[in-house]
Amino acid sequence: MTAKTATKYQVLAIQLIVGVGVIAFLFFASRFNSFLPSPIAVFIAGGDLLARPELYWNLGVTLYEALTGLLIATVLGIGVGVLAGANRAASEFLSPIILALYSVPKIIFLPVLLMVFGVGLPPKIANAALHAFFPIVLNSMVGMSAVNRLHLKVARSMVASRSQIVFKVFLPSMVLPVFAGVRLGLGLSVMGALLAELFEAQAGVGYLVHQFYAKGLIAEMIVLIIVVFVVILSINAGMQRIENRLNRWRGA
Amino acid sequence: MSFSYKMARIATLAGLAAVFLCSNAIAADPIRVKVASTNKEVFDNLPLYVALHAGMFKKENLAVEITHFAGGGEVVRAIASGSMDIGMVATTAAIIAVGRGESLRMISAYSAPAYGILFVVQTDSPIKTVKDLVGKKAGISRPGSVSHTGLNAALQAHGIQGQVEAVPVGGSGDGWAVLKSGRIQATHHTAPDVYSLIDRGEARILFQLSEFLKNYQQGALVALDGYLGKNGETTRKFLRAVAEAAKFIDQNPAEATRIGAKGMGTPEPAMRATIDAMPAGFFRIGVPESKNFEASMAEALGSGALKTAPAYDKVVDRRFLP
Amino acid sequence: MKGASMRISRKIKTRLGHLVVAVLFVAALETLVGSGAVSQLVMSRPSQIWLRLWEDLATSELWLSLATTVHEVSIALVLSLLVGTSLGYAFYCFRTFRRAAEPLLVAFYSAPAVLLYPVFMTLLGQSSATVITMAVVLGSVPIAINVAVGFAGIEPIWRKVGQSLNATPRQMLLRIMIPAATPVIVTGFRLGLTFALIGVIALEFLTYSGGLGRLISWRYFIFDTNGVYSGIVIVAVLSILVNSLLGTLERKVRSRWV
Repeated sequence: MTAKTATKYQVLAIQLIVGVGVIAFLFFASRFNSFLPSPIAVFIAGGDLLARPELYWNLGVTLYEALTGLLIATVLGIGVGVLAGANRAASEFLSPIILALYSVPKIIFLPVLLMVFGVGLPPKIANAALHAFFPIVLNSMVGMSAVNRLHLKVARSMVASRSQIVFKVFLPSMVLPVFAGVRLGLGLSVMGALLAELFEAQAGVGYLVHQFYAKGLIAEMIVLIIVVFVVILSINAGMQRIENRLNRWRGA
Repeated sequence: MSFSYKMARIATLAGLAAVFLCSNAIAADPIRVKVASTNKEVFDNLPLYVALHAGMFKKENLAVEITHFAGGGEVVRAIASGSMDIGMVATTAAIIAVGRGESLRMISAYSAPAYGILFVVQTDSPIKTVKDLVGKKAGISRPGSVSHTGLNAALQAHGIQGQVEAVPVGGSGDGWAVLKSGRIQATHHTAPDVYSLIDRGEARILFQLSEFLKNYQQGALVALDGYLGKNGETTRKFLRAVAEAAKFIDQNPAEATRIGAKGMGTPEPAMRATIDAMPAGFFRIGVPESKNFEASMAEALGSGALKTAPAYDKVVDRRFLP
Repeated sequence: MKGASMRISRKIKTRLGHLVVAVLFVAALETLVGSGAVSQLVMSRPSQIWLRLWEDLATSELWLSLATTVHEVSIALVLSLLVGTSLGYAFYCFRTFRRAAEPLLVAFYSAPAVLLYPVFMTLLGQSSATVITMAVVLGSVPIAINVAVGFAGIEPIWRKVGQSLNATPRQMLLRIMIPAATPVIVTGFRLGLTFALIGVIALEFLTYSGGLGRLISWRYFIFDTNGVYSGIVIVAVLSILVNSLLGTLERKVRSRWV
């Protein structure tokens, strides 16, 4: 067994332990408070829900909203982040504005988004993008400004062209923080889509969750949350692969 | 027959066909109406879905799109900002909006008296009647909401007003979660959703709002003044269609159950039970009654939502009623 | 001398730039709402918000709500920093642990983070405890992730320099690693603290338990848009205060260790 597969098993083992811990927490909490279902009830509800198409259709809607929003947020976030982090003047000008916007509870923008984008999918996508934008832009800014001055000096002394500097100096140093931002953004974009669905929706996971919650079907609600969790894990794993590749290219 | 006679016949047929096709083409473009309503599972949505699926809207040549928002507040906002045409909201929400200066108008009463809202306790709770609530806490959605007014009416009828604390909890889902935390002993809920808890043996209905809240208009239909000015005829058609749907529900409960269950995502038995227990004439398109109106005004003023209440004639626009 | 005056003039330029942006923004809102293009139930005129803000500051209602929120935010911030930093450092030290936990945390931040509030509410009630718990959960994750990334991203050359100078582990940590990782870590702090603050307001709003969130929720319910935005301005000011406190702290850390 190579060192790589050894760690892979360790990772899985730790995740399994966390999973068992959560089930144990639910088990004890449900005995203490009957609002919470026992793990067995969740399991049974899961079996029932997963057999019906209703779950998958709504999940698809929410994922579409979230991922489209994430894409928009990544493009805008990296774009603005690069501009803002490029030089100290831009950074000093743009950071307080970004931070000020960030510090307003984003739930307030929802009526504004509904007004601007109408109803249906667009406001959900917009809200997803809004939520995912901030970690991406902030981490991009930091990535830009934390570029190793030494590398930059060396590149300049070798009379490297603009594009060479961008590709060989800036981009590699930005990879880690930007990816950390995008990964956080992934979860947040789903949260943004869900929050918008709680406000106005006729489809999507948020809508389903509200229906279950109003009817007191908490086991079903928990199943939905677990399904979203697992889906995000898978997408995240895919992103991890891309990040590892970029890391190798970076030469770390 | 002679050639000219044949030609005359062909010409007449062609002419008739042309008129038929043209009139169909003119009539074929249905008028689009964007309707805003509260949560899909709320019982008050039934007439809208019946009108949509049992052909009433189609008969009036209306293409209606129903969008569901999380609460009356969102419906009012959607109407006020012009993104939706006609809305179904709690009467009090409409009055408060007008009181804040919005050019919103109530074009019809919709559902009265209060129904579908009730208070529940846990099945094994020692609370068996309203009187047992003395010294306890009951969950309402928000101060000044219909659940609050209904609770007060029930308490007053038993002479124990002031001895029960009303705790704002939010929606029925939140209320149930807080009840289970032990902080409150009863909470508001809605039919048909509540049947999900009752069928599983978790909850028991303590009382229905309709038992105590008699002079109360629950739902109303609203639209912006600007919209009404330009779409008076469409509004008339809309109200006619919904009035038909209301009658249909009374006369065809089985079919209404089927449509409602499918459209609103509720199991048929729960929907049927809710329809059967409906007060006579619950859904009714017509003039908002002034005594009902006063009850909602009292709500708006009592909760502190408004300092001065708008006059009846400022809120209600009766011009489009059938 | 020239360098100092250049820095000052750039500072003035930046401040001026901010002022221009703020004025344009306020003017745009004032016109949009004043003309009726945007409904007064969705957005308020800045002039009205300003007036309402001063009215609010004269009421006890506002100060009581503010007190509750500040109390909850303070506890949530401190706990988020503690939990987040410890978790982040553990992530850094035990790489396998980080590889295992990080995806779980990112996935958690989607649905569970928000939708699990009923779980806490039913166990802890409509209280500060629920609000603070959820805010800490929300706030500590970005801190943990950025602390780990910050340490991991340090150029190997710095470590080699430390080794060649025979630095003790403590010196390595304090004199090399922390200064090098500070920018990314501080960004993580900013994110985390803002999440914790927003988390407190959002939970107060959802659970109607108290504080500014509850005030904003009530005003939202009764279409008191001016009141809603007055409350939001206060939240924003609170957030700016917290962030600038963090900025001062960052400068102190930098000057002490770099």
